[in-house]
Amino acid sequence: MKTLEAVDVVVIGAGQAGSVMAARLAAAGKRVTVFEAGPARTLQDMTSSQIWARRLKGTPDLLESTGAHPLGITFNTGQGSGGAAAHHYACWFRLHPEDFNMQSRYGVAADWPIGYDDLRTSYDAVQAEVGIAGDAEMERWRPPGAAYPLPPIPRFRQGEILARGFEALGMQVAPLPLAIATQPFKGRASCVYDGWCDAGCPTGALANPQTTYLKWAVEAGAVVHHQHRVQRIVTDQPGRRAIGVIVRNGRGERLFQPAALVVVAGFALETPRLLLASATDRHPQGLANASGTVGRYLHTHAAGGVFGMFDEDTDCQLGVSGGQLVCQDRYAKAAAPGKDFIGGYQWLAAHSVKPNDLLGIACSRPDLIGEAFNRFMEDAANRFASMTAVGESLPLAENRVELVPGAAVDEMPKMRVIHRFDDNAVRLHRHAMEEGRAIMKAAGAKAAWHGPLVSMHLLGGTRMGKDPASSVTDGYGRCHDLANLFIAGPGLFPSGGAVNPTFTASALAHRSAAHIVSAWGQLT
Amino acid sequence: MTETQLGEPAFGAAGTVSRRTVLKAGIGGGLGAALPLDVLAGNKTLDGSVLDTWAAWLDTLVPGAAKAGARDYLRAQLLLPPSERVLFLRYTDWPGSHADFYRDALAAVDQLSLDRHGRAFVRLKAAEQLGVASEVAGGQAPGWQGPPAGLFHFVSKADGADLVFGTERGIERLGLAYRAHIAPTLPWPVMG
Repeated sequence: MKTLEAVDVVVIGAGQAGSVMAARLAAAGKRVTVFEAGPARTLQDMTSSQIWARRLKGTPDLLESTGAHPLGITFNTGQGSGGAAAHHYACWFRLHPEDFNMQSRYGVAADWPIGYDDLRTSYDAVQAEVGIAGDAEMERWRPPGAAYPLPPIPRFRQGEILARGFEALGMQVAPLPLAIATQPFKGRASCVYDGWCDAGCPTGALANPQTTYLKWAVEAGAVVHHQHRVQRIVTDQPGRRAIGVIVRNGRGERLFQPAALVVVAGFALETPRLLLASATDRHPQGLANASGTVGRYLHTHAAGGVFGMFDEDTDCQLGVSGGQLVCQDRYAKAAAPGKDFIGGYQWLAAHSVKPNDLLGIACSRPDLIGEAFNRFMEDAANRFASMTAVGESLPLAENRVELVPGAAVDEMPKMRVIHRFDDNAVRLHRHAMEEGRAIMKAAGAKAAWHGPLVSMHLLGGTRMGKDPASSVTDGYGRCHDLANLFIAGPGLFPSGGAVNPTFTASALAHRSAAHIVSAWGQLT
Repeated sequence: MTETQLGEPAFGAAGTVSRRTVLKAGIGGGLGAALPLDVLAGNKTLDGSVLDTWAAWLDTLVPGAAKAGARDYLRAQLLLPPSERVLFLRYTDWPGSHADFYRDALAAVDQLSLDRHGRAFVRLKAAEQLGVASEVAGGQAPGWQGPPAGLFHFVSKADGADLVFGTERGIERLGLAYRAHIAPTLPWPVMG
């Protein structure tokens, strides 16, 4: 096996968290090599089509997603430049302070080893670099932090209509905070609100990694290799330090890349897969898995869509995929009279919708077929509205990613993912859907209906914690078992709150990179 | 489950026409003509009679789907490597062969049609086809032997919605501007 020239840092994965790490470490003068298993994609590959967009999504080496409530892996993942963030909706929220202490406050999930105050400056720093559009004052639920650098997204007709419904029920809405340029920002063009976010935004308005951190990583000197699958992390003889990785390139050659420090940023499935596949005599359960929790506590947000048909035009094709409005009036955690579940949810409202695809108009009515379906589509094309409840679900140890035996010696084992929602999430979803229909009706919908309980975002699998016996990494993402092996991404989350995770994953990576730079001598 | 036998007449010598040229030309012009390429690609696809059933099935779920290219669409997608396919089945993380999924489900549709009406699905009257489709849509069709009926209904109807309402032509047919940032060069990906 050929050995490549040693580098300071190997980053595995060119998605959001890996790109943040690569950019920050390269900017600090480290020699950084990024290995990405998927193909190179530029903004020119972001075809405006919900059909073509599916090529951005998926995890090819997933063998099976199973369990009582199988996770939607393809929709929530992606490989290639930008990873899943290449098709994310840029809904960038901060976790709330109480999200970090679910065990000590409410006796569920696990506490984070850090609190909101530890992450606040990183949220602010990432926000300033990327540019987030919003109205901090209108978000009465927002944790403390710097004001948004960009003005909020304009409100289109669908947003005006749904705001009516929330306000009629005494609920507050605010402009949805988005990592989308609402005016020119650092050379990026302003959004034109045509709703192609899901297909990858080629205009540069949406802060996908190709537009931000991955681009900045390359500009700072990081070298990115696509179609390079890291198959194993290699440790020293005592098993205390990572010394590099074995990677298979696009020609099928296996190479050894030595590195002083390794960052695994493969997202919630590929990261535990790689750790488990890197088992050694010293780490027989898999690397960094003395706790036995690698791959476990995989969780998601318990989500559901609510839909409405109106007599008036809604211009529902305008805006951005993530939505125009947010309401976090239901973020409170404790169960209470009329609230038979622990944890909260938020509403993302007034999505820009296309006629087709998973979140499009057509899939809201799977029951209609034939001419009745076509009439519905014609009626709904410009009189439809939708919103989504993003709900907290409690991480369960039994929810996991595991290796499937049987791979060839020089191949990585494929993955199986097992997941179920607990009853708490089922009750949360039911409650939210009832409320959502009431909001739609209050907004004037002539018909309101909702979709099933679905999975949204992937979290956990390599959770951080203070106790090495029950977690994989510390609060910086450094593995308890290996001094120079770091993990980045939402796989670190011990619990996920009820907000979209990309901003938090980015802030965590930003904080970790700063720590690595400042503690380089001790870590390496 | 076995590899589907390709039952259509062969088309010239594969060596005389480039693969890219033939497959590009196939869109809208009948990919049935590109038979040798199925072998070249090494991917399973479906034979002509199954594709006829598919087109009739999809047109029952979403009228206009056959004219919009249902037959060519499924065949073209199955020729692609799995990571490049855009079939709605992709979203379900279906663990098995995509070609087997569609072939087995369409065989079950035909069997249900035979059980109910004594004829294959393509031979049924429109109202009978709608009745069979409604049974499958309910997910509980007695005697159904194939992939989960409800799943097949959901993904195939979504495929139909893609073709009729999700292309440039389909969106504009609904009276909406397409507003592409980067317009697709073809309605759906093909090998090339």
